[in-house]
Amino acid sequence: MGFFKKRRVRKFAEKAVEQQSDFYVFGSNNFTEAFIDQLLQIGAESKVSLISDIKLNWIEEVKSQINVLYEEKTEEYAKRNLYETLGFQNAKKVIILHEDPVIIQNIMSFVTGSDLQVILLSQFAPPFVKYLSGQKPGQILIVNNIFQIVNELYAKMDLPLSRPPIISIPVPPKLINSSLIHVNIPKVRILRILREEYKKKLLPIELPFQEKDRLLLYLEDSQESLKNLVDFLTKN
Amino acid sequence: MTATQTDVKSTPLPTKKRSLLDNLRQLKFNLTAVRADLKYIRRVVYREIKYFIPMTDLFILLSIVLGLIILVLLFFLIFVPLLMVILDSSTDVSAYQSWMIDSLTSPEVIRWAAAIIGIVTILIRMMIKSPINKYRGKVNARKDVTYIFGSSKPAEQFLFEMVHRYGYEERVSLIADSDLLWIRKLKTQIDVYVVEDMKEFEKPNLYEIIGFKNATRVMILTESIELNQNILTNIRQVRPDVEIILLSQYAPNFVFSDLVNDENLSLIEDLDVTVQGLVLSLSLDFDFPQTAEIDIPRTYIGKTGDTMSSDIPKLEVILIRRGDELLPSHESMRPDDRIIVYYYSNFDMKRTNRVVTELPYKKKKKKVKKSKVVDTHEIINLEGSDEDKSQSEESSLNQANTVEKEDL
Repeated sequence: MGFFKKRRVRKFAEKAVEQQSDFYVFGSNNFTEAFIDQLLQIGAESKVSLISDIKLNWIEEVKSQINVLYEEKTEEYAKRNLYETLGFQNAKKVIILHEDPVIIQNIMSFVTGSDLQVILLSQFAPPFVKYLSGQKPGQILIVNNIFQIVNELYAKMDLPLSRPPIISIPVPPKLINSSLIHVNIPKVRILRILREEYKKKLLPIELPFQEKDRLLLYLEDSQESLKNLVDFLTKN
Repeated sequence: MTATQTDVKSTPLPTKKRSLLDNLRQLKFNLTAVRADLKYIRRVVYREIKYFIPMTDLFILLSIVLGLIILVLLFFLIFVPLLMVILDSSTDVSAYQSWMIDSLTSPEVIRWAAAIIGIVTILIRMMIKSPINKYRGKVNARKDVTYIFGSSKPAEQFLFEMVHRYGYEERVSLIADSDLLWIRKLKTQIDVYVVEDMKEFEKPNLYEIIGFKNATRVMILTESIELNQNILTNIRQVRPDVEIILLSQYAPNFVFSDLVNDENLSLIEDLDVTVQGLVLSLSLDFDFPQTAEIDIPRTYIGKTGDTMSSDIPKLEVILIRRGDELLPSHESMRPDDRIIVYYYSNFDMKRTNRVVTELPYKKKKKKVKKSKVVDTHEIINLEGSDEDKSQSEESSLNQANTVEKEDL
């Protein structure tokens, strides 16, 4: 039986390499369903491989379009063998959408050793992940969905206080040691440099960038601004 | 959309020495912040006193009864023997006292004393309210409350920010499903009721006792769909008109049915919001910095955003919003403007927001007419000659002066 099991995982890994999957998604909950659905809508089905802990109808339906592996035994997530067989060749990002902190911890401890970027939801991120993300900035990305949910709650409160559409992003590598005075990204306003030396401080954008700086940006139009920003970053 | 690489040598940041006027302005803001805090504290204390008044009445009654008993004892044991000695020195005072002690310790007197103690105990027990009645009494003493159910991460984050970051303690109240440490900490700041048995959420009693008469909205933020269903249906029985807010990931399926036609039921599409964030994270490593958009504190009308940043050390004005226009922080601020701030500490954010909410800028119509300013937006739209601009700036300053006079 063990032989067949290994073969099943190996078959999945081979298919992922064949399809040149960029993203490996772990999970089966509502977030996973909605995320996979969104990826299918934008035509990224070939780039995604799904590792689910449970057989569900919605997964059966998308199985014809994306590469799926069912790994129903939670103990398997604690074994190195699973990750070695998966290999994660060609992979760029691993997205963990599980709610169980034990499974998250197991996946993280075997995946973060490589150069892969791991993406998690803050709602389900166990405290040790926050510690790890501080140790390995850039490699672990926590999507702050709690912040976004709380933002929506604020909008319902009719308060004289609101939260502006401001985000921070790391400085593009090509722009390190230069300044952004002449850069123009449509619908995006570059506000300040956010530098962390012992403590956070805001600096004017005329100053040259350092490696760990982040940029404070005001998005004038949520969709268009983000599109322009992504375009700008891919060029730099 | 291309970046021009310019070799800019790292230059030290310019540091400006603060003048006496700067320090005075900072002191003035600090005093205004204290005044705003005192205004808030006064309201809270008044509410607490109002809540305790029925209890104090009983306390006064009890202390009067106890005082009378003590006085009677003192009269018979000390005052009467003293009087007897003064009037007739041959009187045997010790015999009188022993007779008095004997009669006080007689079975009949002891029976009476036991009966009085019993009555007093019953009265004290009547005074001590059950936790739910205590919560009801306190929460109903407030107007326009947003009730929050649950102890989930969104509830925790939302309440943390409302209370510790923005100072809106009076607007929220929590009904929690577990007694966690963060909830215990909150008890000193807002009205909290912890439901000990989950089955209570199923029964209508809980909702009938609390009443929710002063509820402007109810946010159901528990992580259990079943629990949310119970809360939703029971709240609707008590308050059919109140706005109820649910997270879509924990919303019971029946709310999506066509049969449910509830105009006051709002769903936070957290599933969509999260997925958008996830898709974006595939191409962008982004984060949400600590920023907020608020009105201008009254002491800074007519001054620049940079001035405000230099006065409040852990808060920085990064943009000024004037209508639909976004202006840099070195512009001088007008009464209708709003500011976008980045804050390093929750304390300074809360302090500044308290000034804005407790001591809002009030336009004085007559004075506004005198200074020929009707609407600042109109002035912006005109964008005419320099004369116009200087006039409008002058009028803003006039208004600022009015505020300063009010302060004084």
